[in-house]
Amino acid sequence: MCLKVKLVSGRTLEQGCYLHEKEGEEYKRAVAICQMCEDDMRKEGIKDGDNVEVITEFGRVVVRAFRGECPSGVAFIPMGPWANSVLGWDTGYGTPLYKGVEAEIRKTDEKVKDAAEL
Amino acid sequence: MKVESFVCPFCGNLCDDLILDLGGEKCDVSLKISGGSIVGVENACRLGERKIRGEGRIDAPLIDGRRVSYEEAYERAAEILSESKRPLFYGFSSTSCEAYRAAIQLAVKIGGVVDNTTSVCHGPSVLATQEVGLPSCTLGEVKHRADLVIYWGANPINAHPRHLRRYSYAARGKFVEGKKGRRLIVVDVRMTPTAKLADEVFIVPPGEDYKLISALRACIKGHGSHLPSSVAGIERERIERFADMMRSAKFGILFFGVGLTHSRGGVANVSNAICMVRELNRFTKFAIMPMRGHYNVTGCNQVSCWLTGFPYGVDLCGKEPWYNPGETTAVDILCREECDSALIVASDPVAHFPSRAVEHLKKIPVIDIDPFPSLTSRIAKVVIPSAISGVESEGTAYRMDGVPIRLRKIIDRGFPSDEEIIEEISSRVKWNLR
Repeated sequence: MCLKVKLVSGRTLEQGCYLHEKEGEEYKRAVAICQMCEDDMRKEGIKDGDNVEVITEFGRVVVRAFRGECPSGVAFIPMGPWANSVLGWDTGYGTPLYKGVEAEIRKTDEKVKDAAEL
Repeated sequence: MKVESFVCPFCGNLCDDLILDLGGEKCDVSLKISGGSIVGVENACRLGERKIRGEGRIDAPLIDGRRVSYEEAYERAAEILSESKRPLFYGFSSTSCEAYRAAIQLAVKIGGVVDNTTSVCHGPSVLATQEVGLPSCTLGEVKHRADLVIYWGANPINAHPRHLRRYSYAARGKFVEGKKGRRLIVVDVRMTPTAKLADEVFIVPPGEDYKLISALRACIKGHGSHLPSSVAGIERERIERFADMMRSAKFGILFFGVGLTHSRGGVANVSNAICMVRELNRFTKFAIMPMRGHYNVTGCNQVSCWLTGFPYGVDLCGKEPWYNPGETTAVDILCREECDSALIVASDPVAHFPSRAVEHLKKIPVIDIDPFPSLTSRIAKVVIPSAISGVESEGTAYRMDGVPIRLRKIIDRGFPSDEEIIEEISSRVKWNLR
């Protein structure tokens, strides 16, 4: 069982605030997260703060799940090393596919890696 | 002493109304800064304030993690670049035009590929502009005249926090007074903080913006009745109302963000949006503008154009500049493992590039010039700390609407500027006559 979503990444205020402190805990707390809608989380038995693995054709990463204001079937990860572990490098014209990548999300007991470990 | 009209070197807003308190007799201490002489920052957003404060710096040049003198760092950087056949020069959007000019001149001297962060943000917007033009305006015109503001695939509340208040929806203009005189429409894939402020919100599934723009173009031309009952998850009636709002505006502005450029369709999304705005000008005054992220990414395109003829992703290894996004852009050069060294300035590609590109970056010698530690400085062979452009060194930057603004040096913390560092390296390498 897993949740199938379209993954998008983007800026958040917290991500911007800790931009120059990427090895700090605040940055990890702000960026190593995945936001989904409440219904999608409930379907997969995921609770706020649970660790989830996000898998795409480009890679796999573990982040913390949180309820966000996404429509069903869409998940959001703030831009940064965690999002980039699973987003596309096939650019076509120089710009990677940072939004709209097909992904599978499921609950995991694995820990979230630090930015430097990625 | 207070410094007024200080320009914030963080995002493409380049807000020029900040007040810095440098201490002294009449100092109004609102923020304590340890180890520096800025004691207060007024009018800045959280993002700008943190950068201007300039805490948590790299304090000395490093080679393989060992502290060295600037001289040694310059020598080692010059050696690495001289030994390379195809170095990559990347970053530059968070430094001055003068620093980028110096880097391009260095690349011309030794050969290399020069790219700025445009390639991973608004590259598709530049390509679309090359195809169909850009009916745009200045942010001043938006502030004083726009009665309809649209943000499409952009979330300025998070990425450009003062944009709405200074230039658009909530700005008090000469002819339009703040929110009362304007309507705000947001199109996005999720309910962003910006969308929560809007009069109308259109939530579109990822990758379906092109369809909605095409449907709007049909409605603008009066062919709305030919549309299916819904397009991109939006009912036809709402799309027709959206088109009517645009047609009936006195002055409309469409700000678009990387929501359009990073998703499926990229260039086509943007050129479709530009064509829609062009068509709206048959009925009213309408303009379109990319929400450029880094404070001088627009300036990078200007400098690159006037020095090489092309805005980003320029291969200078041959006798003439060669530009082919998808081939000569940083992510592609790295993923194909083409470059054998990299000079990174004021950017953090290890944090912001896809994993395959980062893998190659970790294999080659990297020279990182940056005021702050980053994941790139962590893997770099040579790290050279620099002054924060626009706070500790002066220069020129271009706002997102293409208006050049002079950045000032306010304090000196003893770091050389990016421009000076690049020129020092350049003076130590020989011409590669190819």
